[in-house]
Amino acid sequence: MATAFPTGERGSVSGVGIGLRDPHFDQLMTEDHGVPWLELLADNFLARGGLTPRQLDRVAQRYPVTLHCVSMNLGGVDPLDKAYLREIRRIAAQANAAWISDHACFTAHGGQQYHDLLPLPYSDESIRHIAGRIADVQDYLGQRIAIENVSAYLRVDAPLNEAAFLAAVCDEADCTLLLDVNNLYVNQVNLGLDARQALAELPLDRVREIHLAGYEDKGDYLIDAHNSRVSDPVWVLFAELIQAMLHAPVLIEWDKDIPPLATLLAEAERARAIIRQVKEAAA
Amino acid sequence: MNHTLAQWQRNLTRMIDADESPQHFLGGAMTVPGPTVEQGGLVYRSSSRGARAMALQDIYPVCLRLLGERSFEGLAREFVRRQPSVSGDLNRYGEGFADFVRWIVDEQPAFAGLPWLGDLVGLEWLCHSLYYRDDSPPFDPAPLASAGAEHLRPCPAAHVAWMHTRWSVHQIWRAHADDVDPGELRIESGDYWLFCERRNYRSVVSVIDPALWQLLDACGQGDTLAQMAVQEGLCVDRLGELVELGWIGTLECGSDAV
Repeated sequence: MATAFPTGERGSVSGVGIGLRDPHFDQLMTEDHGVPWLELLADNFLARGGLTPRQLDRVAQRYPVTLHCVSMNLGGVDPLDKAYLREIRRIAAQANAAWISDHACFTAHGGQQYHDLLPLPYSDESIRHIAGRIADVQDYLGQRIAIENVSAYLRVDAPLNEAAFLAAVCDEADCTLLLDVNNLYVNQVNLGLDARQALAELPLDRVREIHLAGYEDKGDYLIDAHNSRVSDPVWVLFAELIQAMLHAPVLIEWDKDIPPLATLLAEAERARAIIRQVKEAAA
Repeated sequence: MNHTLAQWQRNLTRMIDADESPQHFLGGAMTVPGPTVEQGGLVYRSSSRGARAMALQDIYPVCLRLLGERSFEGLAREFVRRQPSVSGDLNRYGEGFADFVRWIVDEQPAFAGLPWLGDLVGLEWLCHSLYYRDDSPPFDPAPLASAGAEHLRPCPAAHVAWMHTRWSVHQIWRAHADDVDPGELRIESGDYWLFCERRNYRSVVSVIDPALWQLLDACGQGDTLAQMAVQEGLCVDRLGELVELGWIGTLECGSDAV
């Protein structure tokens, strides 16, 4: 049975934040751009010596932060990497991270790391497996974690759809959800999973954070490339989603071909404008 | 066809590691409206290998600049195909690239004119790895008062590294650090005793006195003070110099000393 963790959060994370990337570090540390919070890629802060821990201190002194991981291998069948989790716990404490997240996927197998978010079958076996490991991770970290839905380019023959799979995992592990709207849309195009139907089936009361990013159109399919602006269909889905959760923290992600900070800030402002419109319409 | 979780993971990762068509491995994959199974498999293969190749580009910028993107990509692709990643931290990937490059230089006529390339890559690895190493605690001489030379083992600080090369690869590395085109430099042969240090959060490379280098290397081998004292030609009397320079991090003592 999963441990019950308190719902209180560290730090104060709200509004539309951005993912911290190296080219923007100096600007964000020395100028005020009205960014309310930053998401840190935990794997960029693993070094214990040199400049990295000093940078982590600087960020944490200036911004509320969350910690986003890519190597917990939550869905993997290899043993959990306790050394990695120990570092995540250390970094989260140093940065006073409001919460920690990783992905509903596997990233390693047979002792080898694949540095990619590899898809799981949407099956009962997968639910039991990943939920048990999430519970173990939460016990180790002493807090609930958020799991993120991933984009996929293959689908295993299995009885459930993605939304039912994620709902069952969140329920069984008592974890929260990091809902990536772009990934929902990519999977609609790639796997034929209806994104609006997914929004209806997902446990929105468990959503702790929303991700927005850009995809790359390959013609027959989409790649979750994080190398462009958020696309129009994703903005539309986002507007529908936030009607149910006006106060959920939102994050703009951009990982490749990183543009000037102003471009990310403009994307964040667009998200804020949509939230304002939805609020006004609801008032 | 129902695949167990473990079977699916084994098949998908075997596909990523292999060169054959993804369809050979992905019998459990459904037909979907977007990518074919072949396309979907190739997305994962390319992404996984691409992440590792990109890490090599970041770790070895001088080699990349010298060889050009196309040649470097060819080397990186082949290394990635042969060398799995065993750490989630991509900064730890690529340690064996120097030996791989040395092997390629020996085997491939196209690289015959670059006998020094492996050493340059080795130097780049040292400088890269220094950036991520732990900080060294202040040197504590207290064990000197309580243990004999046969139990005391001076250990190099975490933020230093050293290598010997027969080529002036440090000049190329420095030219790159100063943003000078390293291709304009002429490589020279000789004996170069290189010392690398993380200073003010940056890697710095210098050529040092061979005697000092050998003393530092003896410390790195885990020799005790007593063992060093009987090594012919080793200038143990200069240990204090290493300590003053901050190159010795700790003085280990106790029954675990060799």
